[in-house]
Parts: sequence; C-alpha cells; structure tokens
Amino acid sequence: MSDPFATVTFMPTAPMTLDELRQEVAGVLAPYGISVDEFVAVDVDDLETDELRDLWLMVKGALTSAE
Amino acid sequence: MVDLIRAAEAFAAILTEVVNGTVSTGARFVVTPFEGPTELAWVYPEGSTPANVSLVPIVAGLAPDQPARLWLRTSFQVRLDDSREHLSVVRSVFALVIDQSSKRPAVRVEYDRDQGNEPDDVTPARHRRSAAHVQIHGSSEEFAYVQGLNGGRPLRGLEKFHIPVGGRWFRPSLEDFIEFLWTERLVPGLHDGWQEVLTRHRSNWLTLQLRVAVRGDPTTAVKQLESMGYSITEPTSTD
Repeated sequence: MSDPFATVTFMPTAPMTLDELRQEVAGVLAPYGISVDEFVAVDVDDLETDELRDLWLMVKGALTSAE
Repeated sequence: MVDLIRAAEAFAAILTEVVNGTVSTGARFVVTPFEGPTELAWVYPEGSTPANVSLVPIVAGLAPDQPARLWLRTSFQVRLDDSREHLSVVRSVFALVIDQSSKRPAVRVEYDRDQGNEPDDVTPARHRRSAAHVQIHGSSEEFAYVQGLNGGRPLRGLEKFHIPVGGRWFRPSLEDFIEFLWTERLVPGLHDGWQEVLTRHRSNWLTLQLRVAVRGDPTTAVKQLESMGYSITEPTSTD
C-alpha cells in the first residue's frame, strides 16, 4: 500500500512560548482596550467581533490552566 | 505512547491533501507546538500564528488568472487524549470567508471541547451553547419573530445562534463542510478527483470517530457485538 503522505513535506513551525503568545494576543487586543486576562475570562459569545471570537477559540486553552 | 507533534504533523498532512484535492492549490498546513503549561499544538495554514490564522484561497473552478473571491478559514487546537495514545481536537473552526481583509464569514462550523453541551451530558444545557455547532451569518425574520414572542433578551442576529451538530464524536468533518459548500453551490467548483479525496479521508475520519465512541462507551459496544453473535472477553483489570 502506498504512503498517502509520500508527497507531503512535514514542516512544523517554531514552537511558541507562553510569553510570545501573550504578547501576540495583547497586540491584537490593543485596539479594543482589553487586557489578555480580561479577554480569556469572558465568554466567547460576549465578544463583539469575529476577529476576537476567532482569537478566543484559538488561544483560550493555552492561556488558561488545563481545563 | 504517541508523540503530539508527530501526530499533529500527520493530521496537518491530511488537511493539506484534503484542501488541495478539493478547493485550493498549494496550501500547506503546519504545526505550531506550544511551549507552555498546557501541552497542545495548533494546526493551521502555513503563515498563520495562533492570533492570526491565514486564509486558504478557494480557487477550484476559477480560471488560472482569476483571483479568489472566497476563502476557507480552517484552524485546529490539538492535544493528546488522556491515554496519550490518540490525537484529540480541542477546538476547531471551519468557515467560508467572503472578505479577505476583515475575514468576515458567511457560515462557520465550530467545535469547542469542554466549553459546550454534549449530546450525552448527564445534566443538559449546562453551557450557553453546544460544543459542536454551526453559525450562519445573516438575518432571519422568522428567528426575530420567535425571539420577539419569547422576549427577555436583546434581539440577536442569526449568527448568534449555535445550531448543534452531533457533539464530539459525530460532529461534521472538514470533508463534510467542503462537500456542503459544493453541493449547495457555494463554491465555484472542485478539482478533478475530489470525490476520491473526500471519500478516502472521510472514511478514515468516520473509522477514527467510531473507535473514539467505542472507547467512550465500551458497554454499549459490547452489547451490540454480543447481539450480533460475537463473544467478548473483558480485559483483566490492571488496577
């Protein structure tokens, strides 16, 4: 049986640390006037924009302790 | 024991093949491991960061010189399950995006593990939404009418409603979403050979999800197999 991934190049990107993630999230939140800690404490459905909602979904698990 | 990054890379390779075999060309999904207190990784298109996920242009069905007018937004947060034997999706988003700069979606399918209701919850409606749900961006006079009848909350747009879709075991796959986009003619076309790509990867997905369901409810699985004539021997407890 052929390898379905034979033509695919695996390429993991560089790891991201917690500090790097917090900085990046803070940069997105700056125009909204929300801190990172405030952001992860809210419910996703209370966020006004799709940008914030998408951000919340992708970073929530990393910025809070194990759920 | 499975290595999270290697498993995530294999998942990224599957996503790459599915997307390039159906709606796009030259897209590549990559993995960003998280070096933090929680062991997890992100799987998303090349060029993404957790805070800024790149869009995948939908080009199938367009002339070679025609720019994309629609985009796919696809991203996953993954970890190993409690047994550390299987990759587990913690959160995922698939969306059809209609504007590249604002990333405004028309429809999206989201999954948010542990943050929403599941079909087998002992206590229903503990959360404000279902873990696996569809949201449609638009307006509905009928939904507005129903909200008006019941009152009690500010009027919400259609996109604020989370339509439940199957829970963690039987939620839609990316393959289902792409098939939906095509069968409803929401994308201009798919690449030749898309059926084989979708069928192969969706079969694998269904098998994986069935195995997860059996692990989650072995008693029901044993009963069903015994009703079909199989003899099942319970494993010896290792406690």
